[in-house]
Amino acid sequence: MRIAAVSKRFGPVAAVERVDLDIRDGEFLCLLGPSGCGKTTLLRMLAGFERPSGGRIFLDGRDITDEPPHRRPLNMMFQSYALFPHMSVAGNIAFGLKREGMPRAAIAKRVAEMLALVRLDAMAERRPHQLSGGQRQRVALARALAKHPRLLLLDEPMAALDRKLREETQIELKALQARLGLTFITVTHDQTEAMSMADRIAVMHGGRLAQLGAPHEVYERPATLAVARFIGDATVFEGAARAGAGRDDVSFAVDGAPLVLDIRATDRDAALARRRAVARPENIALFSRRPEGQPNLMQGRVAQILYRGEARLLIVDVHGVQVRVTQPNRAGAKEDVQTGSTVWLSIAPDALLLLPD
Amino acid sequence: MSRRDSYGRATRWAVLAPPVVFLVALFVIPFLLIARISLSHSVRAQPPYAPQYEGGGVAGAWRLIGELDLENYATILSDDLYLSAFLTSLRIAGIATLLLLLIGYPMAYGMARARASLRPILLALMIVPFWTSFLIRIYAWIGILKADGLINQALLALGLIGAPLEILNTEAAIFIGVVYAYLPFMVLPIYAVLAAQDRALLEAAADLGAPPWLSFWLVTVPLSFPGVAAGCLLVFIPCVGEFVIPDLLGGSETLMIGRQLWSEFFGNRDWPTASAIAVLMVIVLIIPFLLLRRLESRGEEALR
Repeated sequence: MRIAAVSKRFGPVAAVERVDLDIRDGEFLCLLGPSGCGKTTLLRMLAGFERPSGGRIFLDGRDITDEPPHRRPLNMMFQSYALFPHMSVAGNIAFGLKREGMPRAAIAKRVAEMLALVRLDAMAERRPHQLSGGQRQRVALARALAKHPRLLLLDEPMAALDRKLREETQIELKALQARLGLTFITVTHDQTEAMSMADRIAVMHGGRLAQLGAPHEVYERPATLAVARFIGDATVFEGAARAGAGRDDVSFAVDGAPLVLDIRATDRDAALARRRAVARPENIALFSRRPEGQPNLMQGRVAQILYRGEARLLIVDVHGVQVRVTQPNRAGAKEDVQTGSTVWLSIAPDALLLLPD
Repeated sequence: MSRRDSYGRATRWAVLAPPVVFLVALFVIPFLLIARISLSHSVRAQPPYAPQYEGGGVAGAWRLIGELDLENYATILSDDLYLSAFLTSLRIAGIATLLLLLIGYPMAYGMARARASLRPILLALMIVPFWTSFLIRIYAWIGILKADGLINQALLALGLIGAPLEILNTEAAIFIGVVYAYLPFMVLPIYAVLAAQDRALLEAAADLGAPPWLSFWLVTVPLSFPGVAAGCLLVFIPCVGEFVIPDLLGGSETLMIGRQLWSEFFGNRDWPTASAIAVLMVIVLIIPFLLLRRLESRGEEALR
């Protein structure tokens, strides 16, 4: 599937603006972004429920922009599941097959296959309202998969599930996609979900595609400040960049603080124009005594400690900049840093990213 | 602790008492009085039926009950006049209900699919006629339908007809009046059901390959059944006993049971026969109600 310069305007508001996206066969692509970023609108345009204001959508080289939803060879799983309340589980799954004019016996066989696939064999005659949330989600999935679509669109597939079930379902969904070899496009606002399931993540911001890449690329090399802020945790230093000693070296003077950071940039010419340096909390080392020979050493005061189970997030005040640092919690580790403690922080030059806004 | 125990017995009765008192005082007691009169005989007296309770305590009451009989029912059931009036009423109510459904469903659908900002206005327009008395609105139709009324004048002026059409005092006029007067009772329950329907269901149907007309038939229509059933009952039941519309707009040859009842009561001063007709009407009207309720639950079964 290819999305070419697709836009959607609702009155004066541009919900999606000139998005270009190539979806590879068999991949698990995740549209990720905060609510209102246009990701659901984009998905609805792929399904045919919204007509693009501009641009074209191609499937297997064929322009489907003007095709009504019932003629598109793709299926969608709805956030609310949209199960037909007046039909049984089997009736819901058979709905799309009947529209194809499939013979009765073949429908029955396919429905049984789908029920087995989502482990709901015993529930065929139940009505949707007699099922649990997780079971309903699986019926919705089975119904969308029954027609063997080229492409499956999933709108916030996990939104209605509780945390524990969500994690299990993520693993299951990913395994199912790999086994069936189908192309999945899912929409989510949950970065953990996107990162654990997707082959590639398309981060959307303000109706535009902010970045497209594998989960580790998007996390480790965010393209913009918005992406860095939306995915994962980040400390943002504001300041001005100057050319440093080496070929890739930049020295970054933080605004309003006697602090100059050494940064190793991949593209120095572009980096010199940027005014924001970003660091992930797990890339910042923390010392309770002044260490020797550490790069970008900063002294600060612990302002807050947030306990998170497997790790702690420390917010350290460094000349007025709130630096976010995570420390793994290990059994038996000596606890010598408390709120108010003076600590030293260090960041490797290649762990600092100069990003455009 | 179960939900039942979380409220005191007194609280539960306090909540239930008003509707129970209302129903007993305004439905059960009057109905029992009617039933008792229907078992009596017509006499020239005040009140015009016998036997009366003439004291004597329990023994007197027993004597009274002993004198009651089913003679009025036997008369009504053996007289073709009443039977045909019943059948005419059921036929007219049935056809009118069908007409109302055919007109009301598309209206309700249009209202439910209208822009959200427009819906309250459409609803208000539906209710506005109620600000004028029902009787006056039906009288107004006489002016529209009569030989030199609005419709005939318009058709004559346009040269579509040579002589005035005879609409008033025909069965057609009754249908016009009933459809006009009862339309909101059909539209509003259907509208309520359609407006509450999840639009994602139609998108799901389209996504699975159903063109719009088929989505309508397979999803919208079956899910609107509770509204259709409610609308049909709200229209059919009062229509069977309708008196004002056939009396004002219908001809003398259309005998509906409501009119028959009126003439027994006021024309012949035969309270017992009129009461028996009323009791039979209630029994006849309970049947479609139960039938629809059964159909409703079976309809859900069949759609499984």
